[in-house]
Amino acid sequence: MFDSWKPLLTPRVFYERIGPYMSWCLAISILLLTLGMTAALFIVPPDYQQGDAFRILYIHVPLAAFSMSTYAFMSVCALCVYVWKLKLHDQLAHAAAMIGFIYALLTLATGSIWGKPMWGTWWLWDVRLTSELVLALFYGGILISRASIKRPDDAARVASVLALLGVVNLPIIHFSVEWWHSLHQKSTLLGLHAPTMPLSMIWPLLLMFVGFFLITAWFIIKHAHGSYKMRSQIAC
Amino acid sequence: MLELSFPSAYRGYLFAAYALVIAVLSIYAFWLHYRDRFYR
Repeated sequence: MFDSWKPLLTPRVFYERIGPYMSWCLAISILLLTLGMTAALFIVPPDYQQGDAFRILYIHVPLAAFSMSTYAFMSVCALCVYVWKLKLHDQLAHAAAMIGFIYALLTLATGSIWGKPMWGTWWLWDVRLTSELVLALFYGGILISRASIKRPDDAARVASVLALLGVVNLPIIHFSVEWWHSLHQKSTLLGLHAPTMPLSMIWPLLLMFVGFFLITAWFIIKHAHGSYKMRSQIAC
Repeated sequence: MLELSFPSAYRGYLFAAYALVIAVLSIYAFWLHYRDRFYR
């Protein structure tokens, strides 16, 4: 059974097979994100405590969730690079670091924009905010190590070790609001309890999650494929 | 009949957050799409 999947580990075969689905992936993700944002801004009722400010949740929460899940994906790829030296996974890990870094920065920015009207300040050294900042720093460190080390094999190895070290931060970010007293609100959807939002507020968030999942996949594969094509041109 | 109206309160914060995310992700998507032309 594994033999039929084995060719997919070769970058050329992988990009050839997945290429026809990329446009569909982008189109569906843009459609879902447009629907989700329209519903979030115009259809969903205001929150009884936060009023309209809570609508930032519909971009802040998916960005935060995907900044973490992209890191988890990158770590799995990093493990494959470290153990089996797989080229495809190295390209995917590099691409995931780039979009994950962007997501982490946008999570901090949208969180600050939400924090100002609700908490009265743009930033606090709260454990949830600080651990998300550490995640952004890990992403930044991985990207800098890849850019500054000349030999690609060495760069991949150092980036893989850094990525695997940073995994310890993921449960700290997720459970920080449960483990410590925090000004940040507890998990709305992915906590240890049932969702605390009514259905009329949850459905646009689910659209945003599916849209972000597809567009993250598109970003990662598009970036990795572009890097592969550029390296192939240089090699020729 | 569904009435659509942009929220009146916190309009600036909402606009800033959504515009920032859309702008950054769009720029990154365009860069990914055209970057092989930039480096030629």
